[in-house]
This record gives sequence, C-alpha cells and structure tokens, in this order.
Amino acid sequence: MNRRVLSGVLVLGSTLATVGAAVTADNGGNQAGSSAMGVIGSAAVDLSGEVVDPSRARVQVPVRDGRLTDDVVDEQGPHPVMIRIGDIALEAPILSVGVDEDKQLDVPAADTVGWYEHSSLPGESGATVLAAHVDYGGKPGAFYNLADLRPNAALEVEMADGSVVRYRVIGNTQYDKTELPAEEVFRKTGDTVLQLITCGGEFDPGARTYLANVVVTAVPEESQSF
Amino acid sequence: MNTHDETTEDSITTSVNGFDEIVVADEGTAVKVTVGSPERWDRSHLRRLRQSADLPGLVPVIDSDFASDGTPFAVTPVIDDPTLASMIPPAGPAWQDCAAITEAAARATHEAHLRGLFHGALSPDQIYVVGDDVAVAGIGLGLGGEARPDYHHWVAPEVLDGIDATERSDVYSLGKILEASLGDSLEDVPRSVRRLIMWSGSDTPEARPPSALEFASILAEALGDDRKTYSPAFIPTAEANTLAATASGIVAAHTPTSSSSRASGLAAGGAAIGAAAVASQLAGDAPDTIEVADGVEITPDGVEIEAPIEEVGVVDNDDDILVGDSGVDVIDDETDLDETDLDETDLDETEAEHVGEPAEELDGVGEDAVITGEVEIDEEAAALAAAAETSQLEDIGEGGTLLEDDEAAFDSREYSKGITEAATETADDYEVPAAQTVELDPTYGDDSRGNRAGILVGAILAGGLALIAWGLLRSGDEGFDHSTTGTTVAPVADEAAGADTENSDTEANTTTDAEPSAPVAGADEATESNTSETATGTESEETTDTSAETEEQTTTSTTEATTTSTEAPASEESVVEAETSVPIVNGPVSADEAGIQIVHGVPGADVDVYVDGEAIIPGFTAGTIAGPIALDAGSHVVDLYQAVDGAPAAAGDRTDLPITSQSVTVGSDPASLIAHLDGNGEVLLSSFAENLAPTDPAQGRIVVRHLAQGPEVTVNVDGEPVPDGTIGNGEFATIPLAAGQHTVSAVTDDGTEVANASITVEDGELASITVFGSAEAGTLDAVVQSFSGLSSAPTEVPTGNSNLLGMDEDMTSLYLVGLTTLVMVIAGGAVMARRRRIL
Repeated sequence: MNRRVLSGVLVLGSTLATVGAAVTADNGGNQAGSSAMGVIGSAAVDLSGEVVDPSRARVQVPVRDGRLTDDVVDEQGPHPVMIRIGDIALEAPILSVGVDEDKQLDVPAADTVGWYEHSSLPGESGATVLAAHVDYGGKPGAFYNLADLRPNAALEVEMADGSVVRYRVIGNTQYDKTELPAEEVFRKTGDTVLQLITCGGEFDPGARTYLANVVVTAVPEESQSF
Repeated sequence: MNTHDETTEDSITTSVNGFDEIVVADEGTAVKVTVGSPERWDRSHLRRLRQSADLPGLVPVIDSDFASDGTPFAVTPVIDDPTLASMIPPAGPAWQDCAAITEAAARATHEAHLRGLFHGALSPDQIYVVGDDVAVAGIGLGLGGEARPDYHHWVAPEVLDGIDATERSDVYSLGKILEASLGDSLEDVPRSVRRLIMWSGSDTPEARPPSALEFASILAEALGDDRKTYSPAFIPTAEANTLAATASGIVAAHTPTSSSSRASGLAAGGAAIGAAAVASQLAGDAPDTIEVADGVEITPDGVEIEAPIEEVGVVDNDDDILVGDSGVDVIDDETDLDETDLDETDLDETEAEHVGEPAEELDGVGEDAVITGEVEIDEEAAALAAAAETSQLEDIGEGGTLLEDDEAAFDSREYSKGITEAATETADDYEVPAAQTVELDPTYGDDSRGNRAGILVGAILAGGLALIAWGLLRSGDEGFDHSTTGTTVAPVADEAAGADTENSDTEANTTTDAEPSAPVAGADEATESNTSETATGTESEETTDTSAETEEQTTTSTTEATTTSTEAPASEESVVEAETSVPIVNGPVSADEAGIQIVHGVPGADVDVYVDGEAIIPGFTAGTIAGPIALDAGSHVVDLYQAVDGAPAAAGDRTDLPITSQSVTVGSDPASLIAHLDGNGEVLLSSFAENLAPTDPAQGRIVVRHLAQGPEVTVNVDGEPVPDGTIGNGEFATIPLAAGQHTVSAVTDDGTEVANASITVEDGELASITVFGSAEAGTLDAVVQSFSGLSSAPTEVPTGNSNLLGMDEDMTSLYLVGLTTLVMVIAGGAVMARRRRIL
C-alpha cells in the first residue's frame, strides 16, 4: 500500500469518525417525544424563563391527552421505488421488504434493491436502509459494484410520487458480519443518512455465504452537517 | 510509509550516506543497497536481517544476500517521509514530540535487539516519522566504527573503537538523540529526562541503562500520560515481498556485485507469494489443478513448481537429505543434524564433495540411493507442496524427482525421507501414473465455475503478456481495484468500526429489564392514617412470557372518601394551569428519555398532583398523561387533591384534605405512576415499570394494564387470545407482535367484548395501554403511552451466495501468477543453463 492509498484510507477513516461523532452529537434532539423534562425536587424549574406567581404551581410538567382513540394510521410518505447510481452504472427498482422468518433482512431477487420498510424514509431522521445482493444464484446482483463507490459519488433515489432525492456518498466500509455496527446502520433517530448494504469480503464456500458486509453511507445532497 | 515513487532516470544514483549505501532507482522504484563487510556479515546475520522484516517499527530489510564475489549486501526501501532530524527544535514541534518519537524509536530498537540485531550508529535522520508512526532505518546495517566523521557524535565510543555494537551502544545513541530533541529549551525539561540523557551518555557501557526498553520506559514516565504517543510503523509483509520482487530485478540489472541466481531465487520467492495469494482464493474449492506450463501447476494449495534436479549419484537410504537455504543437500548419516546445520558449511562441503560422484565411490553409501544434487527449491513452494492435498508423482528420471507425501507436514527430515524413498526406485521399476490434472467439476457450485475454468486457462496464457505490462506499470500505482479493495477498505473498517462502535455505544442505552429497583416485599407504608380503614399492602407478582416483572402495589391507609368540591375546575384541556403554556407532546417518547410518567386513570376526578409537597400538575384530568419527569429513585410522597383554581405550590398551604396521599417508590428505570380506582372504588396510585427491553426485528410490543373496576378479561390481538393474556384488576399482559396495525380487544369470561381499539405499533415501539374506569358506571376508558427506540436490526443482511467477487480476485491473482510463472520459468531455465552456486 503506497502513500496515496494509505492517505486515502486515513482520510476516509477520519471522515467516517467525524461523521460518527457528528451523528452522535446531534442525536436525541429530533424526537417527536418530549424533550423537556420537568425536574422535581430541585429549585422550581420554570421552563419558560418567566417569573410566575409563587403561589401558583411553578414546576411545569408536560401533559398530554393519552386517550385511546381509534388509531388513524398516519399515511406514510411515498416509498422509494428506484435507485440510480451513475458511477457504477446502476439503475434498479426498489421493493419494500421486511424480515424473513429467521429475522434476517428479506433481500429481494438479484437485480432488485430492497428498502427495509422499518427503516426511515428518505428525508426522515435516521437511516434509510437499502440492501441488495452482490451476487445471487451465480449472477451479479444489483450491488455487485457497490464496493467501488468512492466518496462524493452521486446517487439518487426516486420515490413513488415521482420526487427524487439526491445523495452524496460519504463512506464505504467493509465490516465482518459479526461486527456490523447494526445500531448505527439501522438507527431511526438522528441525522438523515442513506445506508446501502451488500456482501463482500471472504466467501465461505461451505456456508455459501460471504463473511462481510459492505456498507456505503450517503447523505442528502443539500446536507450541511457533513 | 512511503516508498520512493517518483520516476527518475533509469540509472544508478550513488550516494554515500555514511555506510556506503547505493541508491538505485529503476522505473520509479528506489531501494537502498547497503554493502557490508564480509567479516561482519555472515550468513546468520543476513538471515536475521531478512527475518526482521516482520518487526514493527523498523524499515524492513527486503533482501540480503552475498554477491558473487562474497560481498554481503542488504536492500531496504527508500523512505520519503520526514525524519526526526527535520523535527528537532527549533525546526519542528515541541521537544516533547521529538522525545515521544525517540521513545517509540527506542521501543522498536529494543525489538530488534531481542532478535540479535543492533544498530550502532542510530541518528535522528534514520528515524522516519509517518504521521503517528515511527520507523527506524539501518538496524543491523550500520558499520558503526566505519561511519563518517560527522556521524561520530551519535556513535558510542566503544563502537568507534571497533567493538561490535550492543544494546547499550544503541542506548548511547538514543541518549544523544534525546539530547538533540530538547533543542535549547532546557528549562522546562523535567529533571528525569536530563538525568536519563546523562546516564545514557556515559562512556562506560555498563553504566548506561541496560536496554532500549528501559530507556523508553524511563522516558515515557518522564513525559507523563498526556504525551503524544507514537507507535511503531508496520509495513505489511506482502508489500515488502512485492518490493523484494521488484528489488531483485533492480539489483540484478544494475549492481554489478549481485548474483543472478539469487535474482531467480527472488523471483521464485515472488512466485511463492503469488501462490499463497492464489491458494487462499482457491482454498476450499473442489480439488482442481491446472497445469499452466511444463512442470508448473496451480493447485488448491498454491503453485507447484517442478524443480530442476540433477541426478548425479546415489546415496544410502539412511542418509539424511535436508532442504536448506541453498537447496537439497545430502549429509552423511553420521552427521549430527540440528537446525543450525542448515547453514553450516559442513553441509555445503558435503554436497560439494559428493555431487558428481558415482555411488560406489562414496563412503558408507549403498547402491540404491540417489543423490539429488543442488535443487533450486524455494522453501515456501516446498512447504506448500508438502502440504498439498493432492499427491503427485512424477517421472523419476533425468528430469527430476519431486515426491510429496500428502500427509507430511513440512518437516525437513520427513520431506527428505520422501525424496529418498522415491529416489530409491529406478525408472524401470517404478510405475508412475501420468501427471494428473484434475478437471474442474463443472457442476460444483454455480455454472459460472465451469466457465471460470475455461476463462482461467485461456486468460493465464493470454494474460502473461498483459501482466508483464502491468508489472512495469505497477510501480507506485494502486493495483487492481478488486484486489486492493479488500485491503484499502479493511483498515478503514477498523477505524470507522472503532469510531462507530463508540458512537453506537453512546446512543444505545435502552436495554434494561424494567424492574423496579427497590421491590418492597409486602410492606405497608402508612404515611397518613386517619381513617377507619386499613388496607394491607399487597404485592402481586406477575410473570409474563417475555420477562419476569415485579409489579408493586404500595398502599397506604386511605383517607376518607372524596368530598366533592364545588370548585371543580372545568379545565377540559390537558394544559398545565400556569402562566405559560407548555407544549403538548404527542407521539412516542424515546426510550432513553422516558423518565417517570403519571397517568390519570380515575374518571371524573380533576386533581392537583403534589409530589413531595410540591405541586407539579395542577388540574390533572382523567385520560391525560403527565411527563416524562425525572424523579430520583426512592420513595416519594404523592398527594392528590381536588383540583382548585390557583392551587398553591406547596401542599402545606392547602386548606383541604387530599383525596389520597401515598408513598410511592420508584427505581431508576422508566416507570408509570397510574392513579386508578381499586376494588373498593378508592383512588390508588400504582407504579408500573415500563418494559423497554429491545424488541425483535420488525416487531413492537403492547402491554395492556387492567386498572378498571370490573372482572378479569382476556386480551385478544387481531381476534386471537394472547398467551397469558387473562388479566384481572392490577395485572397486565405483555404482547410482542409484528410491527403494523392490530386490533386489540378485551373480552370477559362470558365472551363479551368490553373494549376494542385499533393500534399501530411500529418496529421498536412499545404501546402501554392502561384500561381504567368502570364498566358498570359506563366510564370505561383507556390511555396509551407510546415509547420508541426499542428496535433491533435484522440479525443479518444476506446479500450474496455465489462468490463472484472471489472469481474476480482469482482472475487478478492468476494474472499475477501468470507473469511470475513466466518470469520464473525463464529464469529457472537460465539458471539451469549456467548453474552456479553461492556458497
């Protein structure tokens, strides 16, 4: 490995570390849930900063109506339906997928990309997870060349309503499957990212499976925080 | 680590750098060839040098050997990075950095000392600094006493006097380097550092610190914990070997004192390394052997090279044949064999003596054995061959004999016995099966494998030429994308995985079983008793199918019945009655922000809630949820008063009596305090821990709590009763279920459905449903508390089963093998043509 490769590696590594730190720092602020906790027992906390009549209740605790009404299912936003990555000449349809009976991600057929339906939608907080085969049944899969994606590569995801979200690759990492940072890759809170997952690394011919996952991370094009 | 990769003229640049070093640049690759003196560098020293390539923190010696005239030389890569010399004050950073670099250099030097290699003339311009890594050049190469005068400053006096360098000589040099690192800033240098410098600079070796490790330890302690640490740089062996393969060409082409037989040996070494790469790709596949050229085959375990062998005579069965550095040698069976014999000159003399002699003239030699003369076998190839699963027997005859016992581990004697045994049979007596090439099983794996066979064979033949071009362009470039993707990405993965793991650790904190940390065993906590009723405290334990939970009910003696107040505030909204409005929050609460929530499950009662005497929820109405709030673990007194306008902040200021006053105990885990009616219609506060354990992938969880006045019910989800789903007042059922929308209903014993709702639970969400009120009075109602952040990722992302990536790498490696095979075959032929031996 010569200097160019090594320095590229170091740049990528430190970029990812920075990304990771930024993500962590930003996490927790985007919850729909309460982020203001009233604290009992200490000096009365006035969350608004205003001075209130001391005879009135001074500690203000958020209160909400919890009645169980007939749940109106929020219409989820449009699902992703197509992905295009110019640098690796990929254009593939996206299906929404869940997990199979073994609790593994139910990846669709070789030339189709799966959007893990329990991951965030593009634009929502957290990670949008797309997975596709690197190879399957002897044929190359949709993500066959995923490992070739370099930082700043552009890609776009088209949604069911025709809108298009553009992304920019910020990381391309290979993990042993046993060491895949699932908490980070599948997180539902924090900064919006796109995670493209496929297999790679050593192949175990006995088990007919690869031993590593390749994860490409991308952020929306206008993203400022990276 | 940078190896010199600027393209220079195709010529030798000679620079005398204190130790007669020649810098050779060829096709953009530069190496340093250091010429040693035959008196100081014997075979064992050269072997130690070569074997030091794996030590971290040293610039590796990628080759060392004797030239044809007996001059020993060593080859090291040229490093482009800055040295400590450029960082010494005032040029560079603070002296502490330079001292830290010196410490790392001392540690690396110590490792070399353990291998028997000493420097003798360590100086700042031989300590390379690559980022946070340090590499020391010149270990084992320095001639010490013959250094140029301007280097004498760094050299220990005894070495200048001609004594061989030892650990303490290097410690002297390290001390001088440390002294130089300080520059002029002696004021803020700790005393221990100055003492170390003085100690190391002693003229008497015995008076100095005994080892470089000791030096480093003292320095580390003096610098303290917050120093910048430098680590030993490490050049992967593969890179070193690739350099070696390139260096051999350079050395052979330019340095007149090199030996071409060594060059071919290096090329064979290169082939062996390529073979190892191929082996790892093919490992585990069905046995498939491809004959690439005459006598050269690719097998699952590597490249098998039929070594050229000259039969020159016969030895006895009992004689030992050793495979050593210089090939297969014959020793008389009376010679005592041990490891060191491999290099000893006895061996070579014996060989030299016997080669060419007819058997009868040898002493103690029977007529049946065969002396195999010098064999150019690369040790690695021999080892691979010995470990091969396929045993190959080839013609015994003039062409040569190589017998691999497929069960023998590579032990030189075992191997030699194998050779002896085969060699005892003459061509006539011995029936040799045809050289076997096992065809690829076309049905193995996918059909692409059959195609691979054809592609491979054709590609190797055609690809040899392509690889020559590749090799020429190779210098300085990154190589194939596929084959380097693994290596470039892996270190990133390590770094990023390290970073990401840290981050995910800080994010994930949701996993505890929600057990109250202070279970009270049937205790009565009576804080106020001014009634006639005494309720006994009960504790009921519920086990559910997913976890054991302890539900706590702490009761106190209750007060008299509620008095209706004429001043019931009509606040319908769930807004805290205060000057400023607090945002109403809906939607799930993140599990790591869930503190204590307070649920109002008493229909028709608007209350003011006081905790520990302080009003926190004025005008709390039924069906609303307050919080999350942070409540210290332990016991707290909760008072519920009839809600009034202008409720005083302190319970002590209230003029009326509370509806209920109770001590509740909370742990540190999220929980809900629920006000409800007990079996007697009295207001009770019960504490329920929230089950925030992680959910299975693509699943959520529903908890149904029965706090209504009424009979026990069975919880149904999507029309089916849930296991352990029959709950009475005060009990709850825990139901894991697939993410999505479900109908939840409660059915009494007689089949009457008393409640029914549609709930959507997302992946990783908990919906805690509290049913309260009274069916009889028609006030049955329910509230739901949602929590998020419990999700689990799918257990695996299985996205590949055909190893097409591996095929690509095979192609790459086989191109490499194709070239090196060609080179080796040519070189081997050339060597055969003019056989020469070195020592």
